[in-house]
Amino acid sequence: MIDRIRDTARRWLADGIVDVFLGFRKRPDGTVVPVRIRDAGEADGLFFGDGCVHNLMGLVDLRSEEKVGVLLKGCDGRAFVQLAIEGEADRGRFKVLGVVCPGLSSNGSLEEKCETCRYNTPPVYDELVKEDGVESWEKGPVADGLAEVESMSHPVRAAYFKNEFDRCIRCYACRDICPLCYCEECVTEKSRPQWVEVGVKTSSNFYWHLIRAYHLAGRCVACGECDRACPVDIPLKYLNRKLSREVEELFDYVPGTDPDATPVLLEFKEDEEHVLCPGDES
Amino acid sequence: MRKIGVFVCHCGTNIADMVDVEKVVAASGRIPEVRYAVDYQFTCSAPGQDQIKDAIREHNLDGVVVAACSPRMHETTFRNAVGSAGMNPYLVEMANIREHDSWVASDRDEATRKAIDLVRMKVKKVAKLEPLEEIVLPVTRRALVIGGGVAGIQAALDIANTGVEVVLVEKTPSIGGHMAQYDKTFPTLDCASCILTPRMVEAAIHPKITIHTFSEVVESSGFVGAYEVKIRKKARSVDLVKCTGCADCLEKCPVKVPSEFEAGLAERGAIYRPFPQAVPNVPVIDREHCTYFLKDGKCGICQKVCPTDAIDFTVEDEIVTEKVGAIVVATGFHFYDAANYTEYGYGRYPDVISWLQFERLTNASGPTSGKLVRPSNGEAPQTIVFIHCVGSRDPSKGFPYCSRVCCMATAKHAVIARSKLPDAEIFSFYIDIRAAGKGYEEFVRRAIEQEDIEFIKGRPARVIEKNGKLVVRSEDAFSGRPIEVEADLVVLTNGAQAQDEAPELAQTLGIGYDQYGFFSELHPKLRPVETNKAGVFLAGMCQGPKDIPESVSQASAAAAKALEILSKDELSREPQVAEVNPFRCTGCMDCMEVCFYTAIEEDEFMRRKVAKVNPGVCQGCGACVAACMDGALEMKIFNDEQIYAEITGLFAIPKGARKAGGGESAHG
Amino acid sequence: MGKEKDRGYDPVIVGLLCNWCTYAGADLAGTTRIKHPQNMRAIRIPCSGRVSPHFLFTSLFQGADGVFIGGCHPADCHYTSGNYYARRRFALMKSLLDFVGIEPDRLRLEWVSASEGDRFAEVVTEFTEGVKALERPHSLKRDGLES
Repeated sequence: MIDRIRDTARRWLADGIVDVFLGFRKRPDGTVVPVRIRDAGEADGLFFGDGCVHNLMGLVDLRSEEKVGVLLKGCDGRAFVQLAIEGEADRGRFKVLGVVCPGLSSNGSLEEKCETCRYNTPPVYDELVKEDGVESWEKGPVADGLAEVESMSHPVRAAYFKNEFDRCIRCYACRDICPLCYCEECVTEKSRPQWVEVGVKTSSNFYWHLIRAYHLAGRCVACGECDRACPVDIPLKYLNRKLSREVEELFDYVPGTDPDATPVLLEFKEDEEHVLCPGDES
Repeated sequence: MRKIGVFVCHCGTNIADMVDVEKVVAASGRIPEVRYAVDYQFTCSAPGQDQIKDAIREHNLDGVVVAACSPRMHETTFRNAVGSAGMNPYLVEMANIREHDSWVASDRDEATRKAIDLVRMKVKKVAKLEPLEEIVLPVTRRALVIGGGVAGIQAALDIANTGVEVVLVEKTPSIGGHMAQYDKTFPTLDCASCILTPRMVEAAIHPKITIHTFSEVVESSGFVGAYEVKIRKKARSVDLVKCTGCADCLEKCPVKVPSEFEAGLAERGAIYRPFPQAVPNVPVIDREHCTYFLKDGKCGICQKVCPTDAIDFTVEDEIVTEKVGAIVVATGFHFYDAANYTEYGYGRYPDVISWLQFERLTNASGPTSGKLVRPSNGEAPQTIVFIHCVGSRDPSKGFPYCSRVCCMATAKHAVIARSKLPDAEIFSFYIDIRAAGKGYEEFVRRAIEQEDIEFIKGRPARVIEKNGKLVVRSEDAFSGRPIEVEADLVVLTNGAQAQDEAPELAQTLGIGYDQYGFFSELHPKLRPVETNKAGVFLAGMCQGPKDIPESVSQASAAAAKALEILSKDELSREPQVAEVNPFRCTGCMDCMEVCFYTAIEEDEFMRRKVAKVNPGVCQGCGACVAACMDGALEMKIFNDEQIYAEITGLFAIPKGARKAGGGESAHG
Repeated sequence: MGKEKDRGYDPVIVGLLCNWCTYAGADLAGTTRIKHPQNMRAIRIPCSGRVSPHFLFTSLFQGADGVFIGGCHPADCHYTSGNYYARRRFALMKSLLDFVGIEPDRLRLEWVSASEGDRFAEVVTEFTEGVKALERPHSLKRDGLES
């Protein structure tokens, strides 16, 4: 499969189909890093396998006009589709080399985000590569690990999150790595009004994480990059997963899976009063 | 630091009785941004406004909070007041301490604390207000009138007589409305069609009026001064120009269906005109009943007999678009369905009839040429019973409201019946007699004292048929005894009800309506013909039950309000519009997706795609502002910074306030 | 005047009322003198579609015990569709806040028309009682979090 990835990248670059190709490279120490290549000769250094956890859509310059070739797993492919329906990624500028993702492991066990993965193949691609014996699949909702928090009383939940958010150093790695955070200037940097207080304080940390999660509501593609990037191990995915579940249950919408969809908060149905009292629908 | 003035109104005792106004003034004075705080008996009065104007000059204020009634009541008043003192009118806000506080609170301390909070929130908001300029827009100097009854005709004529073009849309094949069906009008007993028909003709031949009959408004977009309305002209199948109104076709049509105009007392063909004086006097084909349409082209007799080749079965509904600057809605009402009162036997006993049927039975142009007879046998009734309030003032079965016109209509009917049948016994069962109006009470007294109509206070329990008679059973509320009348004819005075399509039309036009479907006026006292949609006005029964003189007055009022807009070339309006900060905008265009008015378009800024708001089209709802994650969209008057200030202002208790015991700390 | 009485848990509710329906409904409750609890401080906004998550978050963090949003009934929005967007947004805001410790009874989106003064008083009473019944402030107030 790696050979096919290298061949494809080489061909796209050599034929001038793309100006740049985004993929992965394995370093001599065995770690894997994203790589941006412009020369067909560099294609031999491309790699795919364990360690390729990064969402390459997060590294694409959305403002550039270059033609981009990009290697996308299922989760990354959803990010691409979501960016496309939000008008941020112009389909014509991208050549997508899809991977039927076998699931990535580290230290012998499957990555957490791969355990809860529901789409192992990008929803759109120009070419698709896969290992023998690995097939494309889709799954319905999977256990999202929220039951523990949800079984807590409200004050206990608040205390739980206070404890987690207390550690936040406001480095904004979660935001900067997110393929779907593309604002020119983040709301946290807005000063008129100062919705999010600047200081590293429990209350402003709390506020930051809530608004971050809300801004990803109906948009998060569960690539897990925010969690991976967080230097203090805040379980950011819980907030995202909670909202993803609501969005799917209330609006029957799974972000980044349908290239013809309208983003969930930019449309409505006249007849959906039940969303105000979920559970009462009968 | 801003220099804000706070003006606390007593509203006589309306506020001062429940709110400690002095305490509110004292607490306001402790807010850092407040330079001057004072109270007054009636801040909206001329001396009250002068107090504000003087303070602005004397203390060099750059913001004003008026703590008084609802801004929906007096915001404009105070904007004008500060404006005349040289301050930008958009630097004033009202703290609503009357409707939202003194009138609904039960505890003086609590109400005072709330007033103090509301004032502080507004002070913080005002501190973030900026001077604004009004938006100026061109006006399309044409009017649309929806509904061709007496109110719609009046409004159309009033507007057209000033030289402004009017488009009049009527749902049925002819203008005229319910009034065209009536025999006489109360309390003068002048013939309804004698006064209405000339006005219908006047509208029809008026050079400034275009009439679309058999038509409905299906879509409306735009805003005051520049509405664009789509009208569906239903296929009439008879050419309005070619038809001479000879009526040959009407006689030859083989179909017979109950005539709506005759309230079911006579039949009409599938090709018909509602009544001989119809305007336009051109028939229409009712395709639901026409043999040609039901049986695949068979029949077509009307087409064969037509001397001018005016009949065309192939025409289809047509959508026409009209651009207008103002709209008058005069869509009228329909009569409550008396059959809902099964105990009265309407629909079961032919001699139990409705209001409208009585009108047709006594009308010289009606099915009996004005002979008042029992529908069952064509004989003159010896005993007639009228029953008031069928469907009105009856929350359990009909509507809780009073239909206002039925008492007078019944008195009119009884007097007409007396004139036709001098020897008949006539009873009128009522709950109360409501005869407030010029000459109305006198007319009812005449019915009782001179015309020998027996008015009995009581709501009949039932009407049953017995030996060819209709036995009306009731209680006589004065004697407390049961009463039974054997009648030959029972007339149910069924009340007025909003049109079934009213909510749909309200949604099309974007105006409000109440729980019954009557359109809502903007203010019950001071803005009775305006709606919440600028440039859309109300006339007649569509706003609530009223009689003909009231409907006509309201129509003239609506016409005047419409002309207030249409007399100008340009219109200025509040600058409550959204605005893009292009530095922050990412060009995601989420704002464009949620904008109902298509007020947002793509633009380029520093070689990037960004959103841009067209302030002439934007209506200032703020849906885009809330959708914008970048915080690039803002709006005037309700911008994020102002709302933030208002929210946080609630919790920004000034230092030392607690110690002063001023009541600021409403919250623990 | 002496020391302020300690009123215990006397909740403060931020109201965000759309100008065309609920704010006018609240006015009508006043005009018709329908008494109801006075814990709410209403802020006039043009439309329920104007409500951004910041309004809720800021209210709660700053010290509100509950937030009440009022809009026009479905199909009756003065701006046609603002309330529909508000409905979707609110459902997600509420669920997120619920997840991190805000009891659902503290947040409510209601449709109250300009002619429903009685209903305004009714739903505000009901909502206020619900917030009172929680018996204590929520855990996300700024002052609480920083202590």
